[in-house]
Amino acid sequence: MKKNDMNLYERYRSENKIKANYTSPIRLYLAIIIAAVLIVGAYSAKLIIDNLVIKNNITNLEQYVNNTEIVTQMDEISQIQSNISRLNEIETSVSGLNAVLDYIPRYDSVILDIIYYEKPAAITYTTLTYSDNTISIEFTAPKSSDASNFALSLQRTKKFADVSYEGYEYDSVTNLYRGVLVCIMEGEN
Amino acid sequence: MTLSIEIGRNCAYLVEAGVSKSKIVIKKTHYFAFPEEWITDKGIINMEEFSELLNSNLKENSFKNKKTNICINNSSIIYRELIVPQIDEKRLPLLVRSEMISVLNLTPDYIMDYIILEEINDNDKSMLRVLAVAILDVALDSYISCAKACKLRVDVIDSATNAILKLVDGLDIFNDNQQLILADITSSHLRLYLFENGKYVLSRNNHLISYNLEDEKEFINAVIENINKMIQFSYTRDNGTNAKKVVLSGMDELLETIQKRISEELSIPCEIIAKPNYIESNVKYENRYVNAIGSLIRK
Repeated sequence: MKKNDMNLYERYRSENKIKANYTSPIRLYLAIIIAAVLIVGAYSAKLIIDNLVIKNNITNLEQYVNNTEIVTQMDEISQIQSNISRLNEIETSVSGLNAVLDYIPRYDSVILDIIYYEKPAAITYTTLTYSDNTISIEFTAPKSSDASNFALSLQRTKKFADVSYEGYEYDSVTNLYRGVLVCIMEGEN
Repeated sequence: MTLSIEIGRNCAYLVEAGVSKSKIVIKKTHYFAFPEEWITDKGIINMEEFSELLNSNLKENSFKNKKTNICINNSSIIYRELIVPQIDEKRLPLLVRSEMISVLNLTPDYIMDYIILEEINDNDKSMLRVLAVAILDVALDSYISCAKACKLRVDVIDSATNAILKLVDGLDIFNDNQQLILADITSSHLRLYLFENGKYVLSRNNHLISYNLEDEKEFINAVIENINKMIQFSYTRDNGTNAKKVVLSGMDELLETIQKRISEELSIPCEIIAKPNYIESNVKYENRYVNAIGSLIRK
């Protein structure tokens, strides 16, 4: 199309556009600086918002913590925890005590069952005395060997720390031998 | 509506008109003078005063339109006719620019534009004859800044020669085999355009003594003398023996006197430029506004 009119203003604008494009590195640097400022600004804004959120949470938590009802409940919880601690201590002490109790010899039905079932048929108990983990059994037997056999029988049960036989004496009235067996009990553990 | 401002050497001409594709309706005209020193090849150098003067004239005469065409008709614009090879239209601006820089030894800080006058054949090579203009970017800046200072929105910046070429294109002043001299007369300058066979050939600018009523005769003598020189020059052209005619435009108050004297003294037909038929005027049509009106025509 033949150019038959002129407009210097149009040329001026296009020349300036070319000049503006020519100075594009400056615009590029400017764009980078603006972008950096925007990024830093956005990050700062994010930090500020996060900070505000955290402060808000702290305020909420402080309000929650300082709430009278909550404080009362917290005190109760502390009390309960204190009690639990004390109970734990007691449990520990009781456990230790149980261990001690388990170790301490006890005169119970097991001992009585042993004394009863290990007794030979010929022996008759006259007195059974328990004092300071020592059981003293007074008995009568038709034969002198019955007493020693009975002492051996009790020793073999290994339920006693010691079984001692202090001898016997003959009772001519009843024609029976009379003796005493001393059994020292031992702890279970 | 468009406001057209012709900025001459010592005078500015304002025309407000409704412009459509087929018609220009002039609504308002006004002109005012300013000191010649205010404008140089670097444009308006006395920006503040010029802007204030233009603004006050716009306000006083109720020019309210903002869309503005500026027509530069002073020493800040350089014209040159060039013959360049016919190349791709997109590459032509660069070629014209480099030719102008080379021919006129210009620096790169010039804004340039051109129109294609005609296609010619030179030794079987297809060439283009173009009319190129160049103006310093600072000069163009000054006109744009001045318009901004007056709150005007610049749409077009045109040159006086291009405006005249567009205006006469619609006139029935060219006859076959005729050399025509168009004389645009201002109060301090005379611009002469030579046309051959209806085609623009060249233009010359002549500095005149400043017009005033007391020296009117002397001023007219200077105008006629310069027109006569152009007539003599036209004889040196290849088709210099062809019939000749002088057409006058510019200072309306002098045109009839000058017409009469040219017809009598130079024995050459002389007429005053007529109003193109696509132009209507709601105010008195005056020839001093031809450049401003020509800038309203867009092709």
